[in-house]
Amino acid sequence: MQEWSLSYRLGKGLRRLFRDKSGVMAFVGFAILLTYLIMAIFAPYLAPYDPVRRSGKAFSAPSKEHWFGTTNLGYDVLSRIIYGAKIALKIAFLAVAVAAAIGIPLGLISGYVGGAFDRILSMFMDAIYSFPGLILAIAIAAVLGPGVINVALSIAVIYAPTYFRVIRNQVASLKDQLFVEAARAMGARNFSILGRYILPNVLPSVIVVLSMNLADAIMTEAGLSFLGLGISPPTPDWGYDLSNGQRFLLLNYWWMILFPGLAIITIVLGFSLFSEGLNEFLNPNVGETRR
Amino acid sequence: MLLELKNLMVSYKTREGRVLAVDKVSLPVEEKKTLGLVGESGCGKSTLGGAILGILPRETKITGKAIFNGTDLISMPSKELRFIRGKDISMIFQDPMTSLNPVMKLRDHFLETIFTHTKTSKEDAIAMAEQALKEVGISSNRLNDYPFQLSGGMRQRVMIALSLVLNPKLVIADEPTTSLDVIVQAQILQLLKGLQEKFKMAMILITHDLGVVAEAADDIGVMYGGHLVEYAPKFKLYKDPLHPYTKDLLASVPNTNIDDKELRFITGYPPNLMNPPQGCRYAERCSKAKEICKQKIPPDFYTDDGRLVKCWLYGEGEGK
Amino acid sequence: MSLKWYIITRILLAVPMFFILLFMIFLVMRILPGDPVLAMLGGKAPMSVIEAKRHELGYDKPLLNQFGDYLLDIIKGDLGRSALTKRPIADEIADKLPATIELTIFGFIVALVIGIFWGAEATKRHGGVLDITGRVYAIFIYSIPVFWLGMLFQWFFGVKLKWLPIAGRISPLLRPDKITGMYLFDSLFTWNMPALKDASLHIILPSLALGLIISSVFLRMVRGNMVLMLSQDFVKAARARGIKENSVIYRHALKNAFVPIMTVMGLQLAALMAGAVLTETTFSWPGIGSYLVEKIRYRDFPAIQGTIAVYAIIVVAISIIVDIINALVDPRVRY
Repeated sequence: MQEWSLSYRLGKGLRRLFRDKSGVMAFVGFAILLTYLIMAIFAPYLAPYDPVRRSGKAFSAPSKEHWFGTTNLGYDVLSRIIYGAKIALKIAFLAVAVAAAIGIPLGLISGYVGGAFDRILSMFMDAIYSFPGLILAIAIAAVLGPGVINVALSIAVIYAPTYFRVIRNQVASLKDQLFVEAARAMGARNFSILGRYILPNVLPSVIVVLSMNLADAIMTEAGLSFLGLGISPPTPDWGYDLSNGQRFLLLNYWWMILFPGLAIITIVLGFSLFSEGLNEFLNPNVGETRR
Repeated sequence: MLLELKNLMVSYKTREGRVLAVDKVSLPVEEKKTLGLVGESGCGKSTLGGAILGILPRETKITGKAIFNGTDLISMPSKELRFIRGKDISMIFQDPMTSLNPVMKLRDHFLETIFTHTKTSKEDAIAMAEQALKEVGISSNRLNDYPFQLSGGMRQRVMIALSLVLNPKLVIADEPTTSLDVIVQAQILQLLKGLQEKFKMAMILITHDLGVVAEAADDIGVMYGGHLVEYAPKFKLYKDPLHPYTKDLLASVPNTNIDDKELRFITGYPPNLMNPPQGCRYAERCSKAKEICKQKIPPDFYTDDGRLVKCWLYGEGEGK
Repeated sequence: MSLKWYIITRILLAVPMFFILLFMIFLVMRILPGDPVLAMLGGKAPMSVIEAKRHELGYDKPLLNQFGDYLLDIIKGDLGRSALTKRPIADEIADKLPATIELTIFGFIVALVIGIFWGAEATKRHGGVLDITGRVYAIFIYSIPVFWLGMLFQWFFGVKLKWLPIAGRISPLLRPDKITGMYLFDSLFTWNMPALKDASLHIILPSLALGLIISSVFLRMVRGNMVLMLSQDFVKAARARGIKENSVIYRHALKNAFVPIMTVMGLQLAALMAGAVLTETTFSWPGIGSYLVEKIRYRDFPAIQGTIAVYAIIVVAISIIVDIINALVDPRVRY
């Protein structure tokens, strides 16, 4: 019994974490994410300048005063990147939360109820899933207009089917298994069967999908704001800053595009590394069969 | 002697550690004869077959010698060994359902094999394939079929035809009948035996089924825990088994001639090859085990009539 | 069942999917809280103008009627008229589509070559150089926004080295006579060498940026499926027959891995289309992606809706083509 004590499992988990390359990956990813989270929360204390006020000469190259240079309006690029983490993470988390809040309950019900309801809902979700996500988000964002909530909603719509599919398929296969049948035979209500017997079984895969989607959501948000469909300027936003920087590319002001891009890359890399490692952690069998 | 194994050792790495799957096996394979290799699953018999052909995973470590027609296959570079595989030595696998490429027509399986090893015109190659199919009792118009259009027994016939098409000198058949229906099993075994005699090939028949070797083999090697524990001509082995494991194994086969009240079986489990016992692999389950059996691995003892037995009971000074 | 019947059933099965997609687009464009007419005219338009506009676009009819009209129009190939240029949207898109197809084809080829060869070669040696670098490459390139990579290329190859043009499809005076609308093919068909050279130089950077980004998914998928296939019995059996390692990898394993790979690639083509929107914007590539973004800037909602509907048609068409190719490769699918 001792083998199942928390400290034992934690210790075993930690040992495994650093034994495998995937564990190291997850750790590095987590460290990156933590850095960005701190940047987002403590942006006012960390940023050297106000991100939306002229803090120096326009187009000054990276220097002691401005590590990452300044923009065409003389904004400090570094400060904009630090504040940009706030917007990026806010939208990504909001979008993924909404997507999960739509996809998970629908998936649970659809998989559990089955029948025509399930088939029609699945058809809709599959249709959304097969459609290029960014293009759908573009359409929705174009109708809804700019703003944190609207952008998050546009992104949420394209990721909801992911949760729906994962949950629905698992529930459909779980609901006929013995322990569920037994609960039903003992008179458990549908609602409590779903909540107490089925949900805990599908949650691990949801967590993996969640962390993967966060990476994609950040990418999509950057794409939307690059196209001018994100947050209204001058709010610091990496995607917008990139499209702004592109206008001056010919003038060789490379720092305006290099640094916001690196910010997007590292944060997405952080989420991908973290979710990959997490995946091997929560579903170790998957990793082993792959070998 | 067509093939001679000398001190063949095969080990491979797993997540938990190194496994010694085949340990110092020395064994002759005579020309035009069938060697039956028996043992429980996990005793190393299939690994042995794979080692001869060099088709084990890259991480596997093989030492010792396998001298085929005067050349050692183990030390041969894989590029040269490839020319022997499928031409001089071919192999038949356990599961015919998965051993043929599902998206390739039967014809392409044959053509690919023939063109890999010989310079033949397409017409001649197809004629060869048709002839090989005829030998195994399949009509030649099946050449344009895909594997999924054939039953399991038919697929195994195709596998046999495929292994015979270039007239190899040696066929390694790894549990060729295990995954088939009982009736089909008998047919395939008969077919295999008939073809072996007709084409004057040698065959290594790997199986866990004593009934199969009793029917088809000339000589029998018994393996246990990676060791070859006994090797003898079939009739001598059945009449007078030497190794305690062989004796227990034979006693555990239902026999209609002897009026046993109940079937005997071997107690205990085969050894863990990750962490093998110090002495004889069978010592723990052996009713005749002595102190030395648990301490030291017995060497290969040879009897006067050329039989091999790996057991301290037959060692010098230890009595016979 | 013959291949012909398989194709016919497959096309029939695509019809509901097509309608669902159109319905969804309709839903998004008409029912979401934002009012397209208001958005189009801006907040200060007088009520009468708004009503007139609603009537003009048919937005005052019951929703179901609107959807019916919309469907009928699409079946007739009529996507409506642009609110901005007053030209038929179908014509405008037809002008832009070849550019997008051209870019997507070459981006796809780049991704395919990298993904398949690197993915397959990586499986030859587990833990080998190609395997490790492939895995690092895949996870790293997946994190790069395509427009950023595009800008980097523009800056390096265009601004710094001045080797390649960084915007547009071709220099204006060199445009070849129109056959397909795809300049590379047109200039080849008309044997117009200066145009071919110029168009090729223009397409290098955008297709490379787009292809490299998508290649990461291809690489992972090919590698994963190949590892699975290489552990199968028929691969062992092929090796036991002395088949060359390259044939084992490419003829036996890859061909069997093809069906799952193709299926995911079909979905990835959708991602490619999405990536193309960003790539086109980055490189001022006049395709339907740039068209869509431009129409959004002018709040031309009929045009936006029409463009999205064209994407839906493309998505459905790709899914049909993928399944047909699968059936051609794998006999088990079509029987």
